[in-house]
Amino acid sequence: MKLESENFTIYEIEELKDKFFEEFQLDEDIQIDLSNVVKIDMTAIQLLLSLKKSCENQNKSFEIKNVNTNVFRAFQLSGCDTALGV
Amino acid sequence: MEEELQLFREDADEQLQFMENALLDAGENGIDDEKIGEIFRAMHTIKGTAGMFGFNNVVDFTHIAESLLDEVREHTVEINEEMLNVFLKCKDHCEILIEHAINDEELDNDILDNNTNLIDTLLTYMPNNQTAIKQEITQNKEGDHLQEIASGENSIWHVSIRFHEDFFTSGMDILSIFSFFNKMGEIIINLPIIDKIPLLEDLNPLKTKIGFELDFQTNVGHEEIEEIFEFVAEDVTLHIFKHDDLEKLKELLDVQEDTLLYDLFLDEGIYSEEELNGTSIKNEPLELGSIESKDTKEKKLQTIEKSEKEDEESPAFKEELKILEVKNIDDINKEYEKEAKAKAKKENTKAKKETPKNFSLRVDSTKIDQLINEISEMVIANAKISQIAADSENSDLEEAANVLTDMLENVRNGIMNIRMVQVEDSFVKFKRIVNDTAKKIGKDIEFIITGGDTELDKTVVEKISDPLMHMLRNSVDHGIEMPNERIKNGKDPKGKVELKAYPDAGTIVIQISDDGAGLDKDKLLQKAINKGIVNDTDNLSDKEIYNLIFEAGFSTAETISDISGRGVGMDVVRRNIQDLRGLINIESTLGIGTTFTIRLPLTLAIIDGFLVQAGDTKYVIPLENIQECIELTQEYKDTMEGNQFINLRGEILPILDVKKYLNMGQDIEKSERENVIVVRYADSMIGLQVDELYGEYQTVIKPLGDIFENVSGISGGSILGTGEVSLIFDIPKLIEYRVKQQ
Repeated sequence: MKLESENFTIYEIEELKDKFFEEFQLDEDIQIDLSNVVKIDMTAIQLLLSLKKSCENQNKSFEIKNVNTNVFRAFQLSGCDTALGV
Repeated sequence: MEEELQLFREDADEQLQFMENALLDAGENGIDDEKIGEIFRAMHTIKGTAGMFGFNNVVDFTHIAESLLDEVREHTVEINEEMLNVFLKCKDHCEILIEHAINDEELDNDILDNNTNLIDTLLTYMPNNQTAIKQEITQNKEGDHLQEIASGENSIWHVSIRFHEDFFTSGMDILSIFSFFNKMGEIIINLPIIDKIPLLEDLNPLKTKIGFELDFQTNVGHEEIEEIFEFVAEDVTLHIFKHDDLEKLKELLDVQEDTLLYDLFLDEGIYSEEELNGTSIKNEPLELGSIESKDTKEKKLQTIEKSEKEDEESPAFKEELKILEVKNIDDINKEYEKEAKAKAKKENTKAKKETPKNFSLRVDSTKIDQLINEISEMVIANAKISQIAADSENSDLEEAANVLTDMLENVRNGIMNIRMVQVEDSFVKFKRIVNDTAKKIGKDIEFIITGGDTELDKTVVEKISDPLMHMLRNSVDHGIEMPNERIKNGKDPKGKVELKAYPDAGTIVIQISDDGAGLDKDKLLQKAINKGIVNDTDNLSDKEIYNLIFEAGFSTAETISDISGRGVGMDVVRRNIQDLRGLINIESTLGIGTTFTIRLPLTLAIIDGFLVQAGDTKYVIPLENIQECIELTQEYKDTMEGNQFINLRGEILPILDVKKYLNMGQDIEKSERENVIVVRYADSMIGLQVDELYGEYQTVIKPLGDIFENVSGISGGSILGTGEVSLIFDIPKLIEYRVKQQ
């Protein structure tokens, strides 16, 4: 699943949660492509963590792809880089 | 976000105002440590809070100013007058930076130039730190984090953060909090606590479920770390302690009740099993100068523990350990000493900092207004109760009602008092305006403020501020002459402008006086005639001529400067003052100076009144205006001889017959006794002729509506206990009317 918007923040979070959930209900492994995303905040990180947890729960694989430098820095800053497997 | 930004803005404004006051005060009365401390704190606080919002321009700039101020505080740099001026400019610049940051606007080239110039100027005062800070600036521009240059010792703190569910919606992003941590030091380990995050189907993405455990290396103390959360203190649960404070660690483990936390700390190597069980012998604070990674830290810890246990290792390794051990103990001792010194120093400065300051509470003014409104209704309700009590001939009830009335009055005064503020704070900021204006046009002016402790309603203070500022500018620009002209006239080349406040007869008087050229009556009159404001046949009194300057489009300045003299202003000044039910008066002597006197009512909503009756209408006269009550005896009537004056102890007192004035007609029967109430406002007195006197009465001013808009002399209405309506007299207007009649 590729995110369309540049921002992945509290303003988009509810909409994206619904999209993630739709995607999750499909019987497939989860790949989140962040190549378009340049700005994230903690709501986004929490959502990704929740998604990863759900995947682990159902033995699905979870992967975050194409992380831009800014976003990667945010993952690092929050210490969530390892937890998210990026 | 809005609310936090608003708070930040208010806080920054306040800090900058403190800073300006301290700077001006230092310029006048000399510099001392307390003032330096105040200026430093302003920059320090703004830097801290701006950092939380990620306002990097503000942080970078205040950081430089703060560093210099820190040196001044430590007396490694001596402050001088020139530097005070630079700091004043820094304060202005800061204001601009903050405004732009809050509105999310790009800085234009002028501001950027000014920024660079000011930083360069600040750096010239810091020869010792120049290179360090310059490097820091470039580093910072490259996106590296900004390290404190203070020479404090680095320690490792453990910070445990849990958020209130609604933290996300408070508008503060947790990531910017971490960024700010990295500006004050370095987050060595950041461990997200994710066990509370639910599965996707149960997740409300707006609720904060994540928490963090960090190890943070920094040279700042507990307080400073806590300050990072100043604006969100209510929405977070924090545990901040030195990494090796095992007691606090135990507390944290107990409080969090996360058995998971124990395992997590262990798995991530943040704490060893011994430390977590509180059985570690290594209980002393361990200060490590710098820590490369958690691995090396762990190794060092292990090394020490092992060496203490003296386990069987190869002799060579033991040797190495001994050296390590010795080194460690030496280092630790040294660092202990250093720390002890730093601590003593800190406590010393802290003791100095804590000079008693009044505790104040920031409350939304609408809450107080609401309270005043309710009290006003209570006053009306109480009036009714008093009335019933008085009619009931039940003395117990009457007494209870009286007690209630007294207490209500106390409560009312108390609430009104909340709104009262000293004019000092508002006045002090005029110092800057007077100084700047004077400097700009090359005049030398001494500005004196007296009666700063006079109290006035906050709304009134706010509304009077702009008119005062305008009048002060006028005094400096037009009133005071140029120094050479003053010398020619035999005056001190230094002009004097005085701003004075004092209470007088239930009003507050604010005076602005200067020892300048005074108003030239002939010139004023000629100009008014030229502009067609008056006719040359009009015979005007001095007072009327002076009042011409309040007419729209009237400016006396021969050349129009950018400071004043555009002919808008004085008319606005008068209108603003009238809106506050105030009066303005001018006295001037050519060549000696001019004095503007503004008279303002103390309160706006409730007044103490005196209830009277004329004809069949009841009226309330504000008690503060009442001088005395006399009976209009036949004797007085004889001296009147058909004129509207009486002779009151040798003085002529103009009388205003209320019934006639309000056209209540003559057909109403005259009461047996006629009374005159002597009222005063400013320097004028008149007598109001009425029929009945009822006595003191607490009155809530209610607006009368559009129909009464043009009835001059009535300022509002009030509902009496009986449900009747009474009218409240506007004494200044009545006096004006009666005096004009003369």
